[in-house]
Amino acid sequence: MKGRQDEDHNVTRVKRGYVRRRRHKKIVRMASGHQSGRSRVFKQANESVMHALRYAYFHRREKKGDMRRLWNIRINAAARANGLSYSKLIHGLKLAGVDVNRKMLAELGATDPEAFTAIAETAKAQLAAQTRPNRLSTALRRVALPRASLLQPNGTPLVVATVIPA
Amino acid sequence: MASKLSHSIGTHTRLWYLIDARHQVVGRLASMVALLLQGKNKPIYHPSVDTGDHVVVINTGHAVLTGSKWDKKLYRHHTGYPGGLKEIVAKQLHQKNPTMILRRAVNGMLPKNLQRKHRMRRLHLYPDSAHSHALNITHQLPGPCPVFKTLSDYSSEEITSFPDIVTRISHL
Repeated sequence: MKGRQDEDHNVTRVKRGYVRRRRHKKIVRMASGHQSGRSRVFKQANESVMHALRYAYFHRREKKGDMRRLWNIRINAAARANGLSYSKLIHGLKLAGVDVNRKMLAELGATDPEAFTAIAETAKAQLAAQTRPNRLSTALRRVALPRASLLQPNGTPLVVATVIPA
Repeated sequence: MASKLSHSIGTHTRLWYLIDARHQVVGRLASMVALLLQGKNKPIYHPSVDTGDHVVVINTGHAVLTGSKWDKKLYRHHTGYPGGLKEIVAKQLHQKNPTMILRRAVNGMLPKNLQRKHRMRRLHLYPDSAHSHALNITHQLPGPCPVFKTLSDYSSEEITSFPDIVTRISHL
């Protein structure tokens, strides 16, 4: 770079001093808890921290979906303890105009079973008011008909239907 | 946070369920058992904590497969050696070990994660009604399939007093 000699003589000499050390320390401190070199060595910690921050950004958005999924599982469990499925409960509550959100429904299911039972009863009442009268075919399908094709392991069919004596 | 006054010592303990597999369809029973082993019937369920319970299934030797599955359903595994695909029909597997069919069914219905081994260890299968957990059992649950009475379960009085429908219809 001999062509720029005169500019070089005018620029003040700057040592980097502690600047780099402080920048690196900040990053390495953010990587505390990471495995071996990734929590100690700047080059590894830098990559580790970049990944960590990216995951944190996206997972903050995913957390909302994860929580809702957990609430739904808990609401399903509490609803089935009250004789309903999750789908029927939510449908019944929508019909009844009950806007309690899933977070609170799950919370009630876990800590206040009587309140959840009351909510389940509201849903059941709404559903009962909504169902159309059963046609004969639907009613017949509800009758438990014996299974005719159960085979026992030794090959003989399991007879479950009774024979009306002559 | 809402109050946990409704929680008792029993809320977080592992319960022991007893289920009779006699005349229960294998898949439907396995589905119900898998839910119990995961603890998904509890409103305190969380995936990071194993909230599952113990399940004791008796009479697995008398469980039922519908259709012609006893003759046609194949259980396959590969030994790792070339040409080592082993196939066994449900009937033969049942004769070898009457608990295997239900064990494989439940194993396949649990989520395939590190908890599966621990949950399967909480599943206790017995081919007959004898089991060694009588002191632990907290609840007995009915199976998912309705149990029908066979002809031998009816007393002779019930049989003779049954209304005579067939001959009446023939008069019409």
